Amino acid sequence: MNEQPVSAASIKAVTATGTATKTVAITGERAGVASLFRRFRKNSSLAGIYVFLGLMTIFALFPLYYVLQASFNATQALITTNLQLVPTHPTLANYQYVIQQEPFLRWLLNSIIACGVATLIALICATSGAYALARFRFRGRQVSLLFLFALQTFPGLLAIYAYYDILTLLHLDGTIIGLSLVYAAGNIVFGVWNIKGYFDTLPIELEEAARVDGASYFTTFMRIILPLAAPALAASALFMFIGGWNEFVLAKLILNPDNNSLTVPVGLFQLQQDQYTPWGYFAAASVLVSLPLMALFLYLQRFFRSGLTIGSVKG
Amino acid sequence: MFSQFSKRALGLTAVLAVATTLLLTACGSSGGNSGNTVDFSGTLTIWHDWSGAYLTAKQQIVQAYEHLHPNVHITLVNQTDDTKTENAVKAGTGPDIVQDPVDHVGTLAAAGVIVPIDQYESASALTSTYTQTASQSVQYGGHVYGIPEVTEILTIMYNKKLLTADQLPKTTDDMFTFEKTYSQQHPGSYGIVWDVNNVYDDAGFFYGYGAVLMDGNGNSTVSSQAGINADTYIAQYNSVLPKDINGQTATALFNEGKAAAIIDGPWAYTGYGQAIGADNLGFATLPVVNSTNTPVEPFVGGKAFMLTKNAKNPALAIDFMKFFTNASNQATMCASTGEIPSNIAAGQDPKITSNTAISAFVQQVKTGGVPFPNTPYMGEVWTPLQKALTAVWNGSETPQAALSQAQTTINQGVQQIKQAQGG
Amino acid sequence: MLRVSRMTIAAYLLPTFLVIALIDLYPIFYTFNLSFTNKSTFNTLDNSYHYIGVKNYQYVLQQTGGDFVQVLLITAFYVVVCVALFAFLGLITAMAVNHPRVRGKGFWGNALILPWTVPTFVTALIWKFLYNYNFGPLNQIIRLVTHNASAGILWLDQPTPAFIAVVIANIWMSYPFFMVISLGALQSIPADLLEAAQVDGASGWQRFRYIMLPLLRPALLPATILSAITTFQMFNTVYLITAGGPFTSGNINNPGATEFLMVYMFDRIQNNGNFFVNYGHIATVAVLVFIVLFALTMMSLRFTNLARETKR
Repeated sequence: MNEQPVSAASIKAVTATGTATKTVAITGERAGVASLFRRFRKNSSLAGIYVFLGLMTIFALFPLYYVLQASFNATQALITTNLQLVPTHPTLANYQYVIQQEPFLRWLLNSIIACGVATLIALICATSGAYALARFRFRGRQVSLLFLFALQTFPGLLAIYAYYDILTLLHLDGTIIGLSLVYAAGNIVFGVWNIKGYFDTLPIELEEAARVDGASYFTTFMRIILPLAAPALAASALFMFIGGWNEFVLAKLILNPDNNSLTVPVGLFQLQQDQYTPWGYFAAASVLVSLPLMALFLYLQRFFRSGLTIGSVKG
Repeated sequence: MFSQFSKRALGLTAVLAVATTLLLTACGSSGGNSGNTVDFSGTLTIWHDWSGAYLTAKQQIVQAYEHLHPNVHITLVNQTDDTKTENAVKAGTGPDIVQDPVDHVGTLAAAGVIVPIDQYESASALTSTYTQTASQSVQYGGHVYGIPEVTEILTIMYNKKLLTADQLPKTTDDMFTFEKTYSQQHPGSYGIVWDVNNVYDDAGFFYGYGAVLMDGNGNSTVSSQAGINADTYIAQYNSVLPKDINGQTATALFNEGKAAAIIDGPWAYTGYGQAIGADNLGFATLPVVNSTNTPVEPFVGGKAFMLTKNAKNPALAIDFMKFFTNASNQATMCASTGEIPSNIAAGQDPKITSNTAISAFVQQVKTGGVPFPNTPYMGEVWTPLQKALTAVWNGSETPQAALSQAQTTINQGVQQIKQAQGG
Repeated sequence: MLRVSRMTIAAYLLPTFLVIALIDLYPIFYTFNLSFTNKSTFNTLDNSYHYIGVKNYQYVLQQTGGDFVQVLLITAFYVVVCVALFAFLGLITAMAVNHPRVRGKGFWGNALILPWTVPTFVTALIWKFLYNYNFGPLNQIIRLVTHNASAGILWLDQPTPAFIAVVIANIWMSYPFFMVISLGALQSIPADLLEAAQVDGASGWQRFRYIMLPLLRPALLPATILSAITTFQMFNTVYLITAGGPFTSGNINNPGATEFLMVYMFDRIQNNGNFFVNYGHIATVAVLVFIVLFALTMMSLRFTNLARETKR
């Protein structure tokens, strides 16, 4: 229900594409491919490829570099019509301001609470249902699955007035916990689908064997299936969390406008909109909020793309 | 749309001064409603739009009231979305008091979210305590719906290092000439800047040229010849101002000394004072429109306290509103926030009369200004007109075409509201 | 499949379905229901609103029908342009990185994937910064190159540049995904297949067209479709940069140049900052948006194997 960033779609794509993306080039084959490509591309200019890669890298990195250097730049220096690529008088003042004068840490905490609670609710609620849909056969199962799929296409934004009502009745209007409930609504449907897909890949013999050994289905579920599904649970949790982390519009509509009650996206947006807030502060806040996620992502990408190595041998 | 400007830091001394004065004067000013016995106990919840340093200044008064009446507890919540207010009031969880810009009065009253307070404050009592415009702004459909908190208006602020008072334009034609010559003499700099595509900021020009954005009966004349003239006048600045000018750019330019003057309101002047030096900040009234010989008349608006249907102890809520807006509290608060007091007596207080900024805003109210419409119909004007202004500024449409489209949309909106009210 | 009692099935399903009913189904039902009433700010408190049949649909289609179609068209155009460009860019970047004689694959790979790792709202706000007319680096570069201090593109205030601006920002954040998918797929192509083709005298283009592309298809097609759906529902990137503008008309129903479907919906909900809200009308627009999204997703089911998954 939340806007899925492309990264979240990727997990679906990777699951959906199945074998094709999961098939790994066996390292031994690499040499063969390499020699083949050498001949295949012997006419094309290697220099041209380097130029292309260089341009693409500039395209990819320039915005990031610009914001990074801007974050160290005194504000005065940014309000200029001339290009500046190196801070004239590097300073940490922007960082200081964002952390001390703006409730930046509070926004981080709010975001962590909203996404954390939403992820927790959704995981707990989704897992048992996903298991039932994967393992049991009952009337209406197929309909339920299609129905859940349809639910995924319903963005929470469309039902905002309903959420206003529900949250008011629960005395949660304008609060972070209220927001997390709305996030959970989107997460839970995604979770059921994603976790069910993983359960499907586990051999049913696991339960059958356990059954023969006298264990109840519930014990098997808790002791054997859940631990085995840990990677899927972790991946789902991560994507739910990131989905909420990126979410802007529901937070903007639901949370009270008080600067202390905002999540990071809304807070950052407000910071940039603010009449008196110059770019430097925004740049510093952007760097602070992006760096941990970028590091996490680069670290985790090995796991996401098992097999999708980008020359990791040489890296 | 204009209430969200962030507020600048205020001096700690000012805040302390508020507190001290409050303690000294609180006893005498409370309990203005003779005949009603007020139960001074329980909780008052106020939904407001104060933030930053404004909030700090206002909290002083709230604390003073709690100090005066130890059994009263006041909860402040920053929440100004009327849809949510209505939901909460319906669910019985809404606030006792809403503090909102006065243009919300009509809609909230028509929806039944706020209730008349005539029995606590008659129209005549209101007018004898508060300024004419402030009193008007809280009356709707023949009833009093609130106690005015502060008054706001736009005026010209200029940088004394770059200009002398006599250089400032007296007429709209002067203003455009001034704009042209200033940027010719100072390449990269601008004469006078403002948020040119903002309806609130441009309203003064429309009224000055003789167009009415909205009256109490739902009539708007934005697409009249007067409206077209106003928009044509505004759009010609496209050739001399930054093409993507907005409130943010205007502020940045003025703060950087790259704009000699700016049109802005009380919420902004503390920030400008900090950027260019408080002593360098001069004030001037908006110019006179040549073709109509009428001054540019910006909205005289402001904020007000209103009593919701949920209020558990209305008498107490009203007592708080009156305490908050009594002469001495207002004088001390406004002297530090730079807002214009709605209370007549506060306006005559030396703390206010000696404050050049507030005096300048008061002068603008006297020179030219129209009461901010508080009818629900006004809500239908903002976006269509703002889109029209933008389209003309960007050169996508002629003023005639854009304004007539806006007029059609506004009329449809008004029609929708009338239907909703009728059914 | 496990044979268990109905009670057991219910015990597993109930928690999930109860929560879904409360926080997913009820809001949807609520919205549909709302679209058949005349609920507005003025009749909410006293509950005097009532059902008015399909009048809201008549009103909305009459007032904004053409605009709604226009929004769908510009959204579709945006999706096609974006997906085509970032899929293409992702693929050729992957081919370049994958080129056997290219050195420093680790560097290129990590550098080129970085945009993907930035939170989407930060991406949008960064690009908004870059596009700033006076102080943004893009125009500063233009001024530097042209030696004209007053040169520059009004990126966000003119319809076409604004459209291009949000397309570029979207390409920037989305091409790495395709690069990663393509790299994985490229590396999975058996070497002897291409070798055999070469022996048979197939040209470079033919090998790409008839061998590589069919093998890339299973990986790229679902990725393309899912990206298209995501782009169709894109909000952050567009709203945070242009807020749907620039607007070129005084008619509020006329969509702005980048007022794509979800931004359009958000603008209806914001109700143009108006305090008077006609809930019935807005719910009607929401239902129409939902119908469009639902239809698109169902169509896309045909192209992915998600449909098969439901039958497993």
